[in-house]
Amino acid sequence: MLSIVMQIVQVLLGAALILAFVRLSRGPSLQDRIVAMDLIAVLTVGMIVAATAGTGQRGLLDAAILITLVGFLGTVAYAWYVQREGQR
Amino acid sequence: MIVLLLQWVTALLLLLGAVLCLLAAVGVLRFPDTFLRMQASAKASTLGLACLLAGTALQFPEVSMIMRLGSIAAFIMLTAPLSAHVIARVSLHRGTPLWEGTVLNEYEPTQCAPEDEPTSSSVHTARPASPNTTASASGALEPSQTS
Repeated sequence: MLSIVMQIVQVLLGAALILAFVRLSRGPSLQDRIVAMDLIAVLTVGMIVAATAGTGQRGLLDAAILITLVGFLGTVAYAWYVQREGQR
Repeated sequence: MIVLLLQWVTALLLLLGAVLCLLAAVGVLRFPDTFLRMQASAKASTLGLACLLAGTALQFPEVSMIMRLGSIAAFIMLTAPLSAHVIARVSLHRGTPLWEGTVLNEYEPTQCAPEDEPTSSSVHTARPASPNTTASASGALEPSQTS
């Protein structure tokens, strides 16, 4: 039962990633692309956590922690550069 | 018995988290405004990821797993509002066009200033231009700009 649920969860998260990528490629402004990148980082963490629950590989969670940190720093860095470009 | 119940709760939490993440992505794709997209991404994805982490923590009740999952949850819950705030500030400074159905833009001093109050205080306490469709703490300002 649980394996079927894991597959459904992965499919749902993959569909969410595709929708976020559509917004990333189509976003009218740079801020929309930053929002999409932030969401993509969170969804990747969610996929890794779901894969951990499905397979029992405990080492995958370290990658999830790393992606969480790098995703937040990336969002802040993108926002900083966009704001600096707007002030110039 | 308990194991079976825990499995059901785990499956339910994982499905709920995945559906909430999908709803966040749908909101980011479908909402008409940068600010609306930002709040959809920040809130729904945080709750969805929290549900996924709780389901995984129920499946592996060990100290090392729960510490890692808890640290991920704490970090996401700390940084998601922060990144949303940063994005909102940047798009406010760059003058992103708002949705035409926006009810209240408190950042514009000409739009939200009531007649009996100087505009300086309302400008200094202005939040990012969040479209308030429902009643909120700023409900007292709403009737002044409906014309």
